[in-house]
Amino acid sequence: MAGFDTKQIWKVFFILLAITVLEFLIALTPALEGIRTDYKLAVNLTYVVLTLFKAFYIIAYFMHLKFEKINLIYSIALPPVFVIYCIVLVLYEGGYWNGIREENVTSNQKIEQVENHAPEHH
Amino acid sequence: MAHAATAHHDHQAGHGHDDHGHHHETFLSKYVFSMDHKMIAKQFLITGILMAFIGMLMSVIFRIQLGWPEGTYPWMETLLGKWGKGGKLSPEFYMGLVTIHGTIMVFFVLTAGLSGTFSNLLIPLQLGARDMASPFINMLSYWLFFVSTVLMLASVFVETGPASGGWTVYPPLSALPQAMSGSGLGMTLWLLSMTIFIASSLMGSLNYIATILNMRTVGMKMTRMPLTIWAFLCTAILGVLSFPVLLSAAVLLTFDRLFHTSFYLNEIYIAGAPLAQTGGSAILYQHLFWFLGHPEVYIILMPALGLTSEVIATNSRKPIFGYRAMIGSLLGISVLSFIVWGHHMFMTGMNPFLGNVFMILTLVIAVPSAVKTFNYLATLWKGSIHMTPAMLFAIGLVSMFISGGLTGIWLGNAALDINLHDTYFVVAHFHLVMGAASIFGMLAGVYHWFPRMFGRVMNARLGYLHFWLTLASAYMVFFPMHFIGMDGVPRRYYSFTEFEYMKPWLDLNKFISISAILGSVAQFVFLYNFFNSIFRGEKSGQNPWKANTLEWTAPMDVRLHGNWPGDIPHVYRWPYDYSVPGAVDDFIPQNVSDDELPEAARSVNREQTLAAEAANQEKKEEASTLAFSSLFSKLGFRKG
Amino acid sequence: MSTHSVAANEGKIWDGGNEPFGASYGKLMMWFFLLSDAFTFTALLLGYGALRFSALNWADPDVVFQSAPGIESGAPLVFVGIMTFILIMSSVTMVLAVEAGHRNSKSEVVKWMIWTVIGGAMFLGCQAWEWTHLFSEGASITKNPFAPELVPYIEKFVSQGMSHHEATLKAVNEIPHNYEFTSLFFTITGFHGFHVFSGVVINIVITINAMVGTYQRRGHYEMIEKVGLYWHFVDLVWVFVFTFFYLV
Ligand code: HEM
Ligand SMILES: [Cu+2]
Repeated sequence: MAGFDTKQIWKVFFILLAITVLEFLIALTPALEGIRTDYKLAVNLTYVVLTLFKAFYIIAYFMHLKFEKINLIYSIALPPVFVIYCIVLVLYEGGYWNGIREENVTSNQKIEQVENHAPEHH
Repeated sequence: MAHAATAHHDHQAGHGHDDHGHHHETFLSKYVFSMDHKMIAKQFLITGILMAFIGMLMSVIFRIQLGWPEGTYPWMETLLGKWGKGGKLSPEFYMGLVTIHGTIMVFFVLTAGLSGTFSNLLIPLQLGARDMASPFINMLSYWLFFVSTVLMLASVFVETGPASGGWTVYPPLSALPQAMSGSGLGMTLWLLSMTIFIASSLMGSLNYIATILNMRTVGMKMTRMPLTIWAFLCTAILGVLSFPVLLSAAVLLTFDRLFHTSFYLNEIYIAGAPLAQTGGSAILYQHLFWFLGHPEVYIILMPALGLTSEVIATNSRKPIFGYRAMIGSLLGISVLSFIVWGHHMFMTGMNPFLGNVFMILTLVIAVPSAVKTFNYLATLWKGSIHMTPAMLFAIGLVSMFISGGLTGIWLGNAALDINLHDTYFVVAHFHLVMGAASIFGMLAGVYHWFPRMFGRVMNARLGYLHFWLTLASAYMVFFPMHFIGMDGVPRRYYSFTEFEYMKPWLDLNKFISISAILGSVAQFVFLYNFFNSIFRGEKSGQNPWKANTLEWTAPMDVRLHGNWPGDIPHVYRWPYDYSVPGAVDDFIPQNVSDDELPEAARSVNREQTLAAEAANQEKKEEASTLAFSSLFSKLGFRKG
Repeated sequence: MSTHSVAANEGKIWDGGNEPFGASYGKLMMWFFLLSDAFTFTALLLGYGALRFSALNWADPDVVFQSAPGIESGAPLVFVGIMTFILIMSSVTMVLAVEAGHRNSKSEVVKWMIWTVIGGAMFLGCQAWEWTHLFSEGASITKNPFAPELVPYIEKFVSQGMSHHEATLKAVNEIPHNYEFTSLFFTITGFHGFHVFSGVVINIVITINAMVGTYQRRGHYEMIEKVGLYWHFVDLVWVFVFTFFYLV
């Protein structure tokens, strides 16, 4: 059956290993500390992209999806679109809650300030 | 596990022909742990009917409270014990009843009872398969469902009462046992029951999908499948993709309850003291819940739509109008249903930008819904209509679907929803479009396929009585709710007498309650008819409705596990060849090949089919333009 | 099993009497089950994402996951690296078992399945070790010793003469703090661990079946393939859990 030869399997294994090692390097190399703090979003996106690569290799080769009939490939690969939509929306929503929390914190601080200062004015 | 099923299945495929007496069937293996899809369908149906009556009687009890908030009834105390002290329903139990009523109706009756029954019965029979892909998993699916119903019913009897936060069990009410009495053990049982239900539904759906893909008989192209099957397929896909999200939501909720995490809890004060559990978000639960919840309403509706397509075409003696458009709209509805869940959350404090996204997408649902409606009407148009009870109920579905669907467009508009959310208007909307419509579809299915299940027909006179009483009472109950809702009367209130502005609605509420009781009594006509006909109904013969689909070619001997003796029929045509000019009868079953037809019918038939296809295409476009233009005018863009 | 109806209608794959996806119903059900399970995990991770986005501060993974057996501290992510390696490795042995199954080589199937079971068990062992370690640091499903808002308190307690460990335990027990991080961590890795555990059990069952020749008699090793799909899926989920809990 196509796609199931031992050489191929080990090749995929080394690809996965290499990607993981790369992730570790990004996460741990001391020289990159500055980049990690300054470009946090970009670094995180890099992780996500690398993870998606790994996912691709696992699904395509280990789970053999790449060698299945095209119909099966589509019926597995398309539904996650809904998930992506959901992720985008709900993360956006999480950011919005964050804004509300921050606002609450600052307004609480203001209230505290006012309360603390109130007696002095009288 | 799976391998036992496999072996069994192979056996079926190999020896389907001489199956009686081949197994040593005991009472247990035949009626209880049966792996025959026809028996499992009956099990689902009977459990579903039972649950429907339980849910209905619950609604009668709380409707009495709503209609006569001051009244006392000694029998209430006899029936409910401490929940009915002094003959009056207690507020706690009122909430419990509303919740369990909703849960039972949504999940147990209209999800399992409807889709479970008819997917099981019709998928193998209409596709020409010996049984489900995995009869064993099918059996497991029923029994898990059964266990979950038992747990849910048991929760009604616990000391502190059943879950009481509404069928959507929003936290923090549902997350904090101290929030209300029903949030104790009752809520835990609710979650347990739902988890098992999800497993059952998943097993069922996987089986339906695998069967539809792999087990069609020779010639049964996807585009020759009856619309029922298409509906079951879409339903199963929705179930497979959305129930797991509810599972996750339930897991997190369970952890909040049992391990005091705070996934859904934030800044809560109880009697002035802050709760230690903080940092989560109750809105997160709603997102997860409605990611299931919205597809769920279509999981409920779509099988009913599928059954209706079949019943209407058969009893109009006409090809279904817009076969492909019907499939397209089912697929469209399925896709849309995953991206509009937020319309249930306009008022939660969700990010307003998301509100806009959800609003626009929600209004698009009107398009496929309108396509379906137009196609039903066009199928009826100039048909030679046979008013069987099934046909009446199918037309009833169309009526309910229109009435309830229209208000959906109001609610989908975020600005209007500010006023209407959580009022009786919403109750009216979803009871018409989902509750009544799906029940009508289910009843249409029961009347239509009763012969297929029991070899007898249900009494038609009683059927007519049942239909007219049900139709009238459904409208009498739910239509007035629109007005009450528009006046701002909230749903899930125990009593309307507390606020001055609600008092004028008291009389209307009495009217609703009386209608509800009338409607409930009418269902006993059905119950009698159903059980009486099983034993004493008129024998139906092989094909009582002169339908084209394969289930009517399989022998009515229900004991035949494997469906057809000898070879499975092959399929040569789509299922809607009714009134073909030149043919001997006004219907040509799917397993009749062109060679068996008279010459005239053969050629005309082909032209006819092509013409129908072309007309369908045209009408489909017309329908969508119509829907679009109404949508645009709704949105305020007026053309020219 | 997958072949009984194919012969009937070769050629047009959607015409019925056929398997349009070229896969038996069992394999299809497994695939769609995994799709469904993927939605389950996504929903959990989605909750994680939303709550993390909404939080005003969050624990730093490099600090949380610092130790491996033998190395007390200062080795960020080493241990989880080992865990990841083990799981990927066991995925590889699983594919090798599937591949051997296609050649109907019973002895090789059994060999690779045993390796897979060992890999799974090792992963579970590692996870148990990691959890125990986190518990010992004062973490639990409702206690988060890594919450940034605890840092000043810990410093205060340390300055009062406590050891860092004692100070952390005191702070985490006494000071209200945001513990979403540990709640989510234990819930999601626990849910994943539960999947690994079920996977190991199923793997053991099919290994025994393979040993006693069940699949040899059946003439094909499709069962290994189906279970293999599940096992890779568990690996797949881990890849995401790893990224979102340990890296991001
Ligand atoms: C034209 C299509 C539809 C639109 C635009 C629509 C829109 C809406 C909106 C916006 C709500 C939320 C109201 C609120 O809580 O404030 C709602 C509630 C609901 N809809 Fe629809 N709907 C449509 C069709 C349907 C259909 C076909 C069904 C069922 C088969 C359905 C079932 C429900 C249910 C069950 C609820 C209430 C859930 C609850 O809060 O308990 N809707 N609908
Ligand atoms: Cu909805």
